[in-house]
Amino acid sequence: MQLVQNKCLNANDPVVVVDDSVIDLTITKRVYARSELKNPLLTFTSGGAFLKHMEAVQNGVEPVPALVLMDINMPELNGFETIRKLRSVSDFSKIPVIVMLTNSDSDQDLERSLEVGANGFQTKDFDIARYTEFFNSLAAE
Amino acid sequence: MRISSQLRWFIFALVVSTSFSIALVGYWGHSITISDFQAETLKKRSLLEVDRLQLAFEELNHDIRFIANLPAVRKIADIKEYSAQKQTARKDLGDIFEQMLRAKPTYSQIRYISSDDQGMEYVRVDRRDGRVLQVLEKQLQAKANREYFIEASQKRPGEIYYSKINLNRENGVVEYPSRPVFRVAMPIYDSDAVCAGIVIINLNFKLFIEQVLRGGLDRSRYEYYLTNEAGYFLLHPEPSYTFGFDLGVEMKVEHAFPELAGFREQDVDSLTFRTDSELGASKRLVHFAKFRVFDPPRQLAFGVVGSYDDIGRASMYTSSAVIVAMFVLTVLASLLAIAFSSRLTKPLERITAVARSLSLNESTTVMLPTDRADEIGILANTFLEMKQSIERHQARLQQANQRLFEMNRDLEHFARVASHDLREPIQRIAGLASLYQSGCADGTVEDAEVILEQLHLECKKALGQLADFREFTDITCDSSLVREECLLEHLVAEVLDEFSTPLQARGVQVQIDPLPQMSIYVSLVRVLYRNLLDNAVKHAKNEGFKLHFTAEHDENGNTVLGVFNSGSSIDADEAAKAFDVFRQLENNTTGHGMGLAICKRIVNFHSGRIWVESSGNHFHIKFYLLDPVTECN
Repeated sequence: MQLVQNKCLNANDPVVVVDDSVIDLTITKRVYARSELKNPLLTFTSGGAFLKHMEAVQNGVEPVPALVLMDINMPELNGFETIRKLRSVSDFSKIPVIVMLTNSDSDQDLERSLEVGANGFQTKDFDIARYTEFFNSLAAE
Repeated sequence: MRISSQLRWFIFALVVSTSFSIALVGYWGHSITISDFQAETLKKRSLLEVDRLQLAFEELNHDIRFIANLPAVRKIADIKEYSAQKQTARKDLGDIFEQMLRAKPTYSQIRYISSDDQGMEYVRVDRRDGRVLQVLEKQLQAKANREYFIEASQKRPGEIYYSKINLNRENGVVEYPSRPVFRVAMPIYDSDAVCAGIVIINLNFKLFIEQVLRGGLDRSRYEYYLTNEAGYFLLHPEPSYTFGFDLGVEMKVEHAFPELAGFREQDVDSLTFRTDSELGASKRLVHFAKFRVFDPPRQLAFGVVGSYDDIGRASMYTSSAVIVAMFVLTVLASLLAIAFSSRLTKPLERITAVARSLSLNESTTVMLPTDRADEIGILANTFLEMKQSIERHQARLQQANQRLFEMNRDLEHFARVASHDLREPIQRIAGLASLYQSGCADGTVEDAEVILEQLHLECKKALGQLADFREFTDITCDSSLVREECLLEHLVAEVLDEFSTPLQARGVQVQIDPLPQMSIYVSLVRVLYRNLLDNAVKHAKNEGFKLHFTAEHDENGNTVLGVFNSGSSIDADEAAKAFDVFRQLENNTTGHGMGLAICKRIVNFHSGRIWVESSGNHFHIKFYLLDPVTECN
């Protein structure tokens, strides 16, 4: 787990997951429900939809996410491009904390993640126990 | 050393040794011939001169006998008293002597010396300053005490007295200027067999020798020598040696020619040898021959020395000419050798140059001498065939290598795909199963169905990817495939026919450029067009998009074919990877990213190239196929 150590998540701020795979989202949602994290979970199936949500955050309509889990391999806007666009907005140059979520464990992808402004890098792990543990570790911070 | 150099040196050595041998044999033969010729000439000359000398001495004998038998002489001998008759005989004899002296220029004096009156000269004719004079009675001298008179008087009738040949002496002293003289005399006996006197001829020996050897006194070539019985010189080119024994110069023939030591005593008639000339310039040939004259006999020796400087010079000139000719011939032969060896080895050098460039894998413009009909031509042709065979093999190897490289790349990509892309659906399957197992599902039948449905989808996806990959690897170009001439327009029409339903449904505008006839693997190119068409249909988003089968010529003269569609695009980054295995241009399409990878594989089998051009809202895949320059194995 290459997550950059976080501050304790504010319990009212939502945790955001961006993934084009509906199945992945299904698994994530169910594991999240079983974890100790009580933050509301927001899911988006494309980078575009997520950026639109962040516009609402910028306008103060929505709260700033406590954590964003971003899939890399997505059509149209992939994970890297989405983060690059988000970080280019001055309000979001530091927050929210973003963790790249991917099937790949290549060093190239890790480097590129940090380069575009991600705070951490997490390979998808569908071993439910370990996945739950990942969310719990965020709660424990 | 190069062959040409070896040849040049060999020919040069051959020419030099041959010409040197010829020159040596020629010179040797020439020298021997000259030498033999010289020796023979010298011998002949010697024989001739000796003959002449003997004849001249014989003539002297005749003359003295003639005088001794003159009636006037007999009269004077027989008439003892002074009488008119004796006076007449005296006068007659004087006249005869005068006539004889005129006829014989080498005689300097003829006398009749009476035994009476202390050997008084009775008749005497002299030659003085070239004139012949009868000496007056009152000037006649008594010679009774002279050796010649005494010895001649003691001779028996018919015997001849020969004096020593020496310088004339007066009163026991050698007369000056010296005068070599030879006296021949006969005693005159009266009817009572008493010696009444002698007749005597004085011979001017110097003139005598000059007369006899007149023809041979060629000082430039021959030198003559005459020695007396003691070996002293009566004739020598050096005047001081001639009659030197009378003047106190001890010079015998063996002193002048050490080679003649013992010659006088030995039982040999003649001797020929070479000696250094005085100047040491050249060898001189010497011939000495012994001969006997008079009675009792005296052994004289005649020598002739040939100086062949002029012949030596001529010989040297010949030798020089031979050397020059040899040199010129050598130079000519060497030049010919260089030209010949160059001509002979140039084609070999060309073959060598091509072989070297082949070994270094460099290209060369050197032409092989394949047009020759000789062994070199056969070698060049064989070498050319070998070179072409190597090049063919090399090309095949390169082609195989390229294919291997592609396959390897595919394999690497597949490994990556297997570990990542193919893992993804399996991971999800595992995740979903784990989800159900760990109780994340809410336990209702509906929920279980949802999870099962999702499991089913992921399994289908994984299987689909595997099937696509298998299709990709099945595209091969083995020996069962052959190129065939095919009109591409027909082929494209057939493929379009397969897609007629979706195309019509989406209202696609189809345009086809005039497509050429080519020699291709027809079944593969059909798959190529099918995949390209499939790709366009999948990626073009809008309805009624434009589909264009293009054909144009590039700057290299290749026919560049392509499939253009509007309604989709790709950025440059993606374009580079578009032909990789499992590279989906857009994830939301139904394929698994194998179509373009298969296209690339087919183009590669035609040694061609495929690429994407995309901008704005259009997508154009272009490719070209090469003619079968190298048939795949």
